[in-house]
Amino acid sequence: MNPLNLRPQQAHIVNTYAGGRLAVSAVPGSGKTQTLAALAAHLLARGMVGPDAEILVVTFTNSAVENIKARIRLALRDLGLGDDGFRVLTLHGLANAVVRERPDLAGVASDYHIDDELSSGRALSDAARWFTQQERDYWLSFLPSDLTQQQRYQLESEWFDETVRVAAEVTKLAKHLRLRPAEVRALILGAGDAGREGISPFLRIGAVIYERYDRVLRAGSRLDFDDLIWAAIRALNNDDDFCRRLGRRWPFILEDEAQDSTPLQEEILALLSREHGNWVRVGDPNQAIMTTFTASDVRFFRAFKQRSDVRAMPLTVSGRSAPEIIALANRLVDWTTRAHPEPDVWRQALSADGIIQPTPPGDPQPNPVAGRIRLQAFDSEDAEAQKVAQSAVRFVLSAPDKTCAILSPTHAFGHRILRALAEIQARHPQRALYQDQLRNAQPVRNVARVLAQAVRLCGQPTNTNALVELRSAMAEAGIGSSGDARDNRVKALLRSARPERLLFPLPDAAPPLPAGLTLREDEAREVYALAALAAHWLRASVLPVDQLILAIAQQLFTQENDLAIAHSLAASLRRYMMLHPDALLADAARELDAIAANRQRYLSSSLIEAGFRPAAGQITLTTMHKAKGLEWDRVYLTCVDEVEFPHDASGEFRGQVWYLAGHDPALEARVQLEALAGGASGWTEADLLRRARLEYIAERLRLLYVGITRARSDLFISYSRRRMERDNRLALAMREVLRDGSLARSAGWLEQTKPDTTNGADV
Amino acid sequence: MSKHYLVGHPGVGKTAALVARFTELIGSGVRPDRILVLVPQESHAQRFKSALAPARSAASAPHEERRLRRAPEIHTFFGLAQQHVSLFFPRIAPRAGFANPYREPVWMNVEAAQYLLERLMSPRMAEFEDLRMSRTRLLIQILDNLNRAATTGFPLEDLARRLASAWHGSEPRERAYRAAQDVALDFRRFCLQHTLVDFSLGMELFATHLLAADFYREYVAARYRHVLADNIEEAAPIIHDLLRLLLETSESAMLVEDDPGGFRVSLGASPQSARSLRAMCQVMPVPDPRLQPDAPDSPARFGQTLMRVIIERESRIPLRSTAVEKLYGGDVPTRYWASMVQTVADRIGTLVCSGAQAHEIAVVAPVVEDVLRFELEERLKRYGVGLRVVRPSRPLYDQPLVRALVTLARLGHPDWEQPASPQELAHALALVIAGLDVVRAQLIADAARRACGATGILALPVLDEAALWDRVGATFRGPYDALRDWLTAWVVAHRARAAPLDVFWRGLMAEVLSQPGFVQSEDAAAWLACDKLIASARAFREVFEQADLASSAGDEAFHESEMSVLGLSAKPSDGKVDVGRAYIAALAQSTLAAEYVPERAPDVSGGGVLLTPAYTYLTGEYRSRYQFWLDVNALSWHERFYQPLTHPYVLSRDWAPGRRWTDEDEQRASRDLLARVMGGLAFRCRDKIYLAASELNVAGQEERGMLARALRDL
Repeated sequence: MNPLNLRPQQAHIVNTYAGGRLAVSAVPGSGKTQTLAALAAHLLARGMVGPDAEILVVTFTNSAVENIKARIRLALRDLGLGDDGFRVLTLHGLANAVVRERPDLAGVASDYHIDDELSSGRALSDAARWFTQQERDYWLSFLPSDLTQQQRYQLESEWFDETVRVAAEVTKLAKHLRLRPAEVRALILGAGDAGREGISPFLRIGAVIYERYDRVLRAGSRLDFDDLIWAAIRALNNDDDFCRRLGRRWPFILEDEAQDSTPLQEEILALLSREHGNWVRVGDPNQAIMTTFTASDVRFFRAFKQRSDVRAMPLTVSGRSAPEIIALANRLVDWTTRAHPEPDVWRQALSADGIIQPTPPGDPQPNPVAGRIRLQAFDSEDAEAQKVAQSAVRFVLSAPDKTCAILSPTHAFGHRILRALAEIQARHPQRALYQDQLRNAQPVRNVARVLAQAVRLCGQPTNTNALVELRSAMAEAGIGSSGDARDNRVKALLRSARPERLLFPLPDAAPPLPAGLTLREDEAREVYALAALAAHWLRASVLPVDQLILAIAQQLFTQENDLAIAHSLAASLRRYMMLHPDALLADAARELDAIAANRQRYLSSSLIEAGFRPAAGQITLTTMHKAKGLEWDRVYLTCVDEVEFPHDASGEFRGQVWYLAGHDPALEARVQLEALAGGASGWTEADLLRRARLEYIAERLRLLYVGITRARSDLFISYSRRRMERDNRLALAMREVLRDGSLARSAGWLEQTKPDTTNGADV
Repeated sequence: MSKHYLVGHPGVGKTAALVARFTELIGSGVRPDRILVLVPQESHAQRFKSALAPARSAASAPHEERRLRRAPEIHTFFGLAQQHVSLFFPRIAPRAGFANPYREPVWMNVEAAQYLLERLMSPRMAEFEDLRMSRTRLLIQILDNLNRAATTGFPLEDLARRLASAWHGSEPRERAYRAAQDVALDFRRFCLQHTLVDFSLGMELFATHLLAADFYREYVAARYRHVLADNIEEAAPIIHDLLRLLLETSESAMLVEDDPGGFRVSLGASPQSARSLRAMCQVMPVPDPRLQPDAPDSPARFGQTLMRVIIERESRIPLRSTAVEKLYGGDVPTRYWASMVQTVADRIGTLVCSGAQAHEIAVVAPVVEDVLRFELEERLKRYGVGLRVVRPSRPLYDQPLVRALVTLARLGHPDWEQPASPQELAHALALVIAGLDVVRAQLIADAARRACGATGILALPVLDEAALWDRVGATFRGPYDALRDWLTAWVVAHRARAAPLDVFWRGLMAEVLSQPGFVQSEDAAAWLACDKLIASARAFREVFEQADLASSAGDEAFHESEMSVLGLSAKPSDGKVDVGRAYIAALAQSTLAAEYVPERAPDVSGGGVLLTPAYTYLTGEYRSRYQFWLDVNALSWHERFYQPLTHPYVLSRDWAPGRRWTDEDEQRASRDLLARVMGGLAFRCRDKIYLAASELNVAGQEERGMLARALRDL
């Protein structure tokens, strides 16, 4: 039975799986999501799920949820079934579903709130601010004393950011170890009594801020994402019957992106599948790049795969990339597992199971035929940013049907490219050349911006500009209609109108627009439609702000994601208003502005790449991290150097802070807490520090692997010979895999010393 | 012996039988005040009162007239208990442990109880560390426990033990249970110390010092010869104890049980406990004609089947009905919540156009948020159909009009130094001045801000620019000036000694807001909320005075509260607590409506389609020709409100001590409650039920609750 066009490996999994624990290692582009969807559909088709039960599909991001849902529905339709009997959730969504059902078991009441990363990040930053104000002298004593006023000002700000990082690291690890603030405190104090050599002041600072943060969250019945996972485990552990009941409701659990699950997340699924054991985990250990942001670790998925009660099946055939690019990715795996200078790295960074095989003849989605790989060294970061931008623009102009991405390992370098792109764009006003996906995923920005303008209008209804701003925000978000040509005329009309007459005309009052102005029909339609909308919201403006936002959102948005984003923004603003009872709608609008204007990082895992699809003929500018799961015809990998992709654990590291005498506060705090908690008994702190660095080296290798495997046909690799005022080299891994020149021969790879001029005219 | 116990579905005429019995008693020469009528809430009293009218007007003989002039004794369950406690207070107080039993007691409202609990709880916060809950949520649970112990009839000292013995989780909870009990006991001691009576103490005084006392037995025996009680399944066990006493002492009694019922869970409603009274009566099941085999299909029949589907979920019971229409799941699925609201509005429009009266239509949802009210109201407007919203359990502070009154209170008290922002002023003016929209109100508020300068708007300024009133409209100037003049006069009059906030509001309502030019009682529920606000402020003040809370702020017992963290500190700088400001802070913090207070039910009988939460519908005396069930996919139809420190089932009389509360109990309870709610709704519907749902809820999420699963095969 193969109605779903599955490859043999995929069909094998789908047709043979009937229960039990299964680990599927899937290489990039091997169609793991497709396989999961097909498996879910087949299990339903075979009648293996009762009427009151559902197949549970768990994944990492919200956008993946939508994607999988759509694919399962499609697969079910192919099999002639209705779309019922499955549930797709993110891990956080699952944790919420568990807690919501029995919050009492988790020690919370039904009215708990979930803090997304934006608001929990803000709460943490507030807690850190509180600490630096309470203990200002102590906190400042870490900075060098011989500073000018200007330097001090600058350093204080950097030290504050560092303090927040320390607190974030301690908070994250403490929750991962399920340590409450009081327990962390007890560990630190207990260690002192035992006469141990001093506890790192960074850990102490982190612990104080964690305690404060936790108290603030608790006082608002708030759970951050880690608390939510923890609460779900508490609920499941507290009541076996409850756990069994949910197990019966979800007799099969299919998990996507399993390499990114943290141990706590894994524990939820383990508990839910304890009784029936039907747990399919699909992941690519070589793409585990979330460990720096979460407590996930590729070791856990590998350990699962090796359990005696777990079967392992591979998905190694991929039709995504051209043979040259597959060869490069495979070589990176091969070199790392065989020859990396750090033995611990070759043991853990990349897995040889992940050798990619191209599709056999006749595959429905065959590999692109001719690929090419180019390497380019530049003299400076600016040169790299500009030349890469120019080359990419030339490409999208010459191949408007192709997709293209520039991927940067850091935001900072990404912004350099952004500036270069913006300059070129200014000379090409007729078409949009790129999409900036560096920070907020675009949908977040648009939703927040439109809502900000709508809320601002409600707060300042007498300001005529508010209507104009709302209109342009809506136009930018693609809501409502506004032709470019009459743009300025309508704008002028709105500005000159008396808002009270336009929005709330009184029966006998004067017309809203200045005398002598006549409107064309289309203009009138637009102006009055906008006025009707605005009047509607203004009538709602006396409602609590979250309800106002929901009312606005119901009329503006039809996308599931937009509505979900609006709801999360509404909840976040409700909390803000609770904390600032005197705040006004204008303040609420400013909060939304902050999100809209990219000032706040909105890295919520539920929003990353929410709904994003690469558009042909446009450059996607983003980070290598956010590129995960996506593919482009051409990919530029920038900054592929020794700074971003280190190989020597004893060398200098990114986290080290010069004004703190080379300390790496966040890492040190984390490592020490880990040691205190006995998470690594028998290890010295030096061991732990080294281990942490090795983990970092390994993760960066995987990041490089992710970057490479985003490309379908063309891969352009670049770096700068001078960076951060130092000499710089191509990342060791890249030097090694390209050393023998074979890829160069087969793919036309060439190392040039002069800037790339092969692509013709200057842009 | 004439003791009858009527039981049957809602809508089969039991209350009518009760009223008929009442008329019969009156007709047979019984003095109305010898008849005790007990009802769950005051709105139910009306039918009995109107039943008396024909007899009164028909009475010709003077002695007849004299007899009938006496008012019948119609009380709510708790109202009677409270009244009798007040009546006998001097007699029972000395034995009840009051420090000063001869002092006049002050009855405490919820805001005051919360305020006091908040202060008593502060020193014990660390003991709740294992739980992640706000202070407000904590104290709501403590309040809940106090009330549950009282209405069920067990000592506060049993709370922690009861909760702990039913808890079967692997992590320990005793510490938190114990702490919750300790705070409750502190609270009780404080009340006894200062002769304050909260709802729970009142009920406990009733149960332990009246019900068991011989003098009380003699009193009720002499006073009430006939007893009529409606909806006794909605009463708490101690009320059933009272009924047991009355069954023994009266000549005749008629008790009515609605089945399905028992929706006033937060007030300790217990159908099981009610049924224990059956043994003392002749039980008369009232058949439901709608369910006879030859009766046409009806919502009632559908309701009965749906209840079975929910309870016996394994069995495949065919669920179909011509009295039900699904407004979703057709060829074009209703994806968005807004489309669901639109669909409902359209269908209501069609119904009204084809002759249905708006007041015959009810829209019920598990929860009614502002956004639902707003969106439905706006959409119905296009059909010229009004909406009346009944949400009695909503926090006062969430009502825009209440916020407007708070803003005006700040403008009447410049010494508080809490200036109103232009936005607050604009919203307040738009709400109280008739016909004034937000934009024009904002123009006035902007002008006020300009006139006030840097201090902010502490008081309303004189605004006499012609240009301003040209833009705003001259008609609004009169009301503004009237409001300003009154506030200015108030400030002058009370400069020396501040008058209480409730007096301020009462004056404002009577002398300004009820005048022409201001919003007349268009939204009855909103004005009812204002009445409640004033009553609540007054009761709060009386508690303050009774316990001298204003000057005890610095007491050792009271710790700095975390309210200050939230910027809600009620303390002015001199250490004295201003009762008005403290009240407003407590109000802003309060998330608990006054649901424990036996209040006047919002009997909003005006026109318009009814929009109300399902529980309100079920506990009010509502009947409809058409019902719309909204969001049938929502989980909130069957989910109870979970709170780790209290438990509606474990803290009930039916719960065997020492038994554990398992997940299976939880499931059974959820199914049972959902079945009762859905059955209860269907039995109150005459012609047709419309089911509405969207794939995504208002938050953009997919839900599929127990109700959705039960309706799957419809």
